Amino acid sequence: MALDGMTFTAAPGVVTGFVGPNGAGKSTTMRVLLGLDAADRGTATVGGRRYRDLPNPLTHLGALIDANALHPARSGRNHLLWLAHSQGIDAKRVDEVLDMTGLRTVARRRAGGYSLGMRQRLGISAALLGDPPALMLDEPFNGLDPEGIVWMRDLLRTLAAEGRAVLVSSHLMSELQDIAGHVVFVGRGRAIKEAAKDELTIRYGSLEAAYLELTRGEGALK
Amino acid sequence: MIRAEWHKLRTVRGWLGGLIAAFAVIIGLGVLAAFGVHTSCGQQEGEACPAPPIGPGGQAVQDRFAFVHQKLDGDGTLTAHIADFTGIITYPPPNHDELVPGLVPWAKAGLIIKDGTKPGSAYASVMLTGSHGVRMQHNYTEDKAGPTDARWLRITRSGNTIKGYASSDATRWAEIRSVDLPGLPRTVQIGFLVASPANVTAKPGPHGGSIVQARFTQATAVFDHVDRTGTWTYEKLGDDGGMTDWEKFHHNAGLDQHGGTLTISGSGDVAPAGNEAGATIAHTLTGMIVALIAVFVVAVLFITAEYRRDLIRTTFTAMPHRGRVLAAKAAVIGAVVFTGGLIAAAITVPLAVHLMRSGGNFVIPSSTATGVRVVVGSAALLALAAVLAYAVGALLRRGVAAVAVAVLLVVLPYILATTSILPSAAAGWLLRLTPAAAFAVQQALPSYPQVNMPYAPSDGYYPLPAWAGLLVLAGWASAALALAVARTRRADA
Amino acid sequence: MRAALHAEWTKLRTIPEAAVFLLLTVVLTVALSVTAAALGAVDRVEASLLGVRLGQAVVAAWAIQLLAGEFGTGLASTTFIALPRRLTVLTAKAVLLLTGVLAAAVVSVTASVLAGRILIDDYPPLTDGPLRAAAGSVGYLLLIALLGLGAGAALRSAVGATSIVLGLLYLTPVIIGMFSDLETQHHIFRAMPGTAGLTVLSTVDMGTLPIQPLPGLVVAATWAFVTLGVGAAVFCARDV
Repeated sequence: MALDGMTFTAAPGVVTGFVGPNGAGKSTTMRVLLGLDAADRGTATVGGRRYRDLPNPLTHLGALIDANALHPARSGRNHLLWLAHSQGIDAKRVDEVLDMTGLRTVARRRAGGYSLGMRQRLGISAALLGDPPALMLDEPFNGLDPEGIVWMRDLLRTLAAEGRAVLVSSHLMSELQDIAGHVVFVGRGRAIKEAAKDELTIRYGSLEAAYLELTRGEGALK
Repeated sequence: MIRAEWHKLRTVRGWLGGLIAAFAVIIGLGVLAAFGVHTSCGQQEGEACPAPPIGPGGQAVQDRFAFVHQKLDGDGTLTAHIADFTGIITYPPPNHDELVPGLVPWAKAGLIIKDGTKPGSAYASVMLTGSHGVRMQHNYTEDKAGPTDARWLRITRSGNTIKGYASSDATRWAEIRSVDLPGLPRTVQIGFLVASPANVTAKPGPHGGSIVQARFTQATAVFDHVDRTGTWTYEKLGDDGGMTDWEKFHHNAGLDQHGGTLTISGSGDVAPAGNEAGATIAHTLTGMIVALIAVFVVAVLFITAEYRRDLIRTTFTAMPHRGRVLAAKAAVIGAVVFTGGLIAAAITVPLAVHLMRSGGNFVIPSSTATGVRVVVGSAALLALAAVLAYAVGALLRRGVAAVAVAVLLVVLPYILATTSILPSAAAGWLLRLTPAAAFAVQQALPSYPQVNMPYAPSDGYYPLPAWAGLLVLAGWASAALALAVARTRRADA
Repeated sequence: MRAALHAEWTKLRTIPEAAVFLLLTVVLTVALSVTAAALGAVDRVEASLLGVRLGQAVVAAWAIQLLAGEFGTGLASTTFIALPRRLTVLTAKAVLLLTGVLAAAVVSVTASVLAGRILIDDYPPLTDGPLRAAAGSVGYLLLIALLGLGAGAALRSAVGATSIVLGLLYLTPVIIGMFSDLETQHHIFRAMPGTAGLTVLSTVDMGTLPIQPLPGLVVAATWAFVTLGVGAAVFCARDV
């Protein structure tokens, strides 16, 4: 049992931070929602429907789970191209998202040669491909250089400002500083607490302090 | 460095498990094969087959011929002239519809000194053959050529030493060979031998491979100018009691004596037995080919897993001499597979042979040296093949491709050559050029030029000697390793 | 389904893997066929199609790679996010696999037969037995492709699946050789996909075969579809 009563909301127009220590169940939650892992009991639905029942799911929910989930010999652009074709999306959109993530210049090189930061950008591009109203990103800051972290924060803020619901997981509170409008704390497969950022800063002084206080002793579960 | 790589191999449970499974497969299939071998002769199920006689050298032999003999006490000599040597071959190709007069190449008529009349006993003989001239042969496996045109033969005994001579005019005698038969008793049998081995041909089978056919033949020799008097006794040595129609209705084997002229007819052969006599010790190692595939998987993953998980960067950072790292890994995988293979083969061969023998099957005996060569050689084959697969893995850096290449290089040629799929000529070349040549170490029975047998790979005879076969595989392995080192030096990790 | 096919087709054409495997299938099949035809054999048709015995290894390896390869690189999770209906993904892959193998098999078999006509004296006309051998070879290669796809889906490890499938195809004759009892030998021959299926190549002395070509293909098909069924069940149910 990796998850137990994981209930929370990620509202449109807000970046929702999904934080907790390693092994708290952040990735598992996302994977169950996407149908990658099966839940023993209960259901995971997106907009009231099971993910697998969504027609062209990438147009409903954009997800970044594992930036390395690509074929190293295929170019970044072709990686996005087959994804576009899987959703009936036009190839033009591929070039649009490549521009958004700044990968245009390297798009025709083998993805196997990309740095982890470039792979994260490619993963974001894939999530944005269907122009979805909701985004779910697992540890998007991993492997980014300081400049990349700033870029990612700006991008997430912009995406939320466009009215999307953006759920971002992280095990480091500091990465979500300034951008998360709403925070969900998880530990041992449960949502421990969810609250607006303002509420948390008032009660605990800072998000960092809230994180430490709320997730104490909620490490890896088994 | 080698310690580090051994530690890596040891600590991945799947790899060690794979290797142990591979070695268990060798033992398991060997035992299964021992139970799978099941011979029965005669009408009733389970009736034991007559085992072939065992020669003085310990090998299974054929010892069936027309033996006309008398006692010889101490030293002595016998001289005779072969006035006529003819024969009959029953129903040979192409049409198999006639009895053809003629001698098969290794039909034998000559003089012999033999340690009694028990099949398999020691002997030395000087003889005229169908088409290989005069030969001096002794103890089944030994053969030396004499003159081709001589018709006069002489054999002498002095202690344990037997000498054979030949002459074309009965005045000038050439000694062919002097041989020692250790332990020869004072009283032996001296006399004449006439033998005619089956006429064997192989033709391509409809579903590949070859169909071996053997036809009954009989040789008749007329000896005159015999310099020994006394009574000659005829004996159909090694006779199994069966008679062909030719013997029943036309001309039976036997002795016809008129004055000093002896006419002797006989069939059979005095020669080493081939693997038609029974299973060889190598039969018990058939499971090795299955184990080989498991070994390939581990050997390939041992290197490709490093590339996949980028562990190779860590490895190369810790040990910057890339060529040496590759060599160290090769040494580790080779040594581990060799050790495991040696243990598995050393258990399998004696165990399975014991099981087969206790199940009433005849297993062709092999000398200890041959046994050791088969066991150690098989372990070396496994180890070298593992290094080859590993090197292909390092070269291609793709697990599937590397395993497939290793299988296509080693396993497929072996299968094509030994399971009657390809014609023997093509099979022979596969077993000379491809890494599968190394399976020659498993040849338990030597092939003899003085025996007319289609020594085919499908019967367990290989075109190369054992060491040469291993050398071919070693050549492939080191070439692949050299290419892999060259690529690793040049390319990024 | 159309989108899945389009996506899988784009995947296939944007890396050289498929082209390499298919080219290799044709080259190796024709090369061995031509060699065997030049050497000659009693069964002229079987000799001219001998390359199928080699080509099947490449076909199986590609089929396995097509599926298990995605799990090796981790691409599978991206695929399942974009196309969460896994059976549709498997079907799309199977359609493309069969199309590719069909093309490669038809080219290889046609080239092999043509080479046989040129190299072998008295090559029989392509009717009855010989036609069955040629068409059956194509069918056999398609079945091996499905077997490989099923094994890849069931095991997910490309290296593991390849070694097991190649072992199954190539080691049967060795295992048969371990038994001296003819009845046991024939039982094994009839039960295994490689031996039973490849009787389709034979055109002479059919009476001596332990199993006839058509039932032999049925045996191979049973193996292919059972493996594919197991593979599909694992593919659809197991966590990525």
